[in-house]
Amino acid sequence: MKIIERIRSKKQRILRAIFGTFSATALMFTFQACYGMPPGTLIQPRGQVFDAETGEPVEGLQVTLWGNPIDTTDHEGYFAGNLEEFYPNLDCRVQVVDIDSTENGLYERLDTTVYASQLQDMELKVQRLHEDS
Amino acid sequence: MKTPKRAPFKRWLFRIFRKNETAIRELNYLFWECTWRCNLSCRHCGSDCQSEAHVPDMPFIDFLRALKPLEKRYPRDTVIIAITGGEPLLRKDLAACGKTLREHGFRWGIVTNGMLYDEARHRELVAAGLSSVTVSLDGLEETHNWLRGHPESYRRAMNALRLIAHTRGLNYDVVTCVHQRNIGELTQLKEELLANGIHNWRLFTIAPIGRASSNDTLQLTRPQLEEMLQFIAETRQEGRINITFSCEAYTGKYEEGTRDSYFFCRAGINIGSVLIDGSISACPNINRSFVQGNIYQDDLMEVWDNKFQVMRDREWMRCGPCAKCKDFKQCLGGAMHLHPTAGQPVLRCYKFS
Repeated sequence: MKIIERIRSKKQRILRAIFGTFSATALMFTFQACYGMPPGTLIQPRGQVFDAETGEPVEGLQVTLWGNPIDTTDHEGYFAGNLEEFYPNLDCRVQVVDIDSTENGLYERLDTTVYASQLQDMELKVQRLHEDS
Repeated sequence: MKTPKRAPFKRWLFRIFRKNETAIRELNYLFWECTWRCNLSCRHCGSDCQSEAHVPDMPFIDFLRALKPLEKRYPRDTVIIAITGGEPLLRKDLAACGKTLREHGFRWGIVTNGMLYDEARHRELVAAGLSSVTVSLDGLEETHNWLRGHPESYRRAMNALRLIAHTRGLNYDVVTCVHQRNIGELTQLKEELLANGIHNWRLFTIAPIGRASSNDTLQLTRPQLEEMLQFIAETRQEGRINITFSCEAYTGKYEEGTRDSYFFCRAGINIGSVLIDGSISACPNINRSFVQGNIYQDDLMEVWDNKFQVMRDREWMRCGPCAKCKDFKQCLGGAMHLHPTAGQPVLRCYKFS
C-alpha cells in the first residue's frame, strides 16, 4: 500500500515539475487567496565571486541584494540565498563587502547592478586592495 | 470591446494541473485571524468584526505552537502566513510576532485598512521581515470614506500605500471592492493610483456574506458586473497598471482576459487558516460551518492531511444553478466562500457566455 502511495506521489511531483518547466503557466504556482495578500515568488539568487586580477574565487565576502544580505562566499567563491521577487523586470543592486578583513585577502567593496534575468547565475569580480594602496 | 478568445487546450491543461495540485495538497498559504478588533466599521465587512470584540486576541504563542508540525514538514520560506483580522495593526505585538515567524522560517504579510500604518510602523514591520501587504481602497475619497465610515480612512490608506509601494523587496497590492457607488469611479481611481506610484491593483465584488448580506446596494447588478470585467480586460490590454480580478469566481468568457491564470479556488488545497478561536479552516471568509478542527485540540497537519475533503472533492457543489451547467468542470462550483453550507447552491454565479 505504501509503495503505491509513494509511486503516486512521485508521479504527481513529476507532473508538477513538467507544468512548472514546460508550460507557460508558471503563474499558476503564484496564487493568492481572495482575501489575502500576494505571496510573491521566492527567487534563489546564486553565483560566484572572483578576484579581478588573478581570476581565483574569493572566500569570506558578504553578498547583498536590494540591501538584504543573502550569503557569504564559500572557499570556491560560491554564494546562494533566497529573496522575495518584487519587480521581476527591473535590475537589481548588488553589493559585495569584505567582512573577514585580511583573512582571505582584503577586497574593495563592489557596488554593481545585475539584470533580474541573470540573478541565478552571477559572476562578480572584486578588486584586491594591496598593502601599499 | 472584444473579449479574448477562449483557449480550450489551455483550459484542458489547466484542469490537469488543478487536479494534480489538489492531489498534492501542499499547505503553503496560511491565514492567521489574530484579532477580531477593528478600528473601522465598514458597511461591507465579510467578517462582521467589531471595535471591541467579545473574543480576545489569540495569544501568539498558541499560534506558534500550532505551526510546529508545518515547520517540520515544509522547507524554510515555502509557507507564507497571512495575518488578518479584524485589523492586525491593532495588535501591538505584531512586529514581534512577525519577527518570530521569520526566525522560524515562515514568510509573512498583512491585510490592512491602513489606518494605523505610518512611517514608524512601516519601518518596524519591514525590519521584522514583512514580505507582503494588501491595503484596501474602495473608491475615490468620498466613496471610500462613506463605505469605511471614517473621514480619514482614504487619506491614511493612501499614505500607507505610498510608503509600501516605494519600498523595494516588498510585495503589495491594493484591493478595491467594487459596488454600485464606485463602479463609475474606476477609471479615475486608476489614474489616482498611478499618480501615486501604485502599480498592483486587484478588484473584488462584495460577496453577500457578513455585514454585506443585508445591504443590497453593495451588490453589483449583472450588467455592472460585466462592465467591471470589461474594465479589467481593457486595462490589462492598456498595460499601464497590473490589474487582476480576484479569485472569487469563474467568469466564463472573461477567464482569459481578467487574470494571470484561470479561476482556481485553492481553499483547503493550498490555503488553510487558524481562526480567532483556534478553529482550523481555509479562507477566513468561508462560512464557519466548514471548520475542520481546532488547534487547541488537534494537530494542524493531521487535520490538513486527513480532513478538508469537502473542499477537495467539490462534486457536492453540482446543485442549484450549477446542476446542469456545462462549464462546471472548469468552474467547480465557484469559490468556497460563496457557499453558505455544504450541499447549498452557490450564492452568486459570475459566468458570462
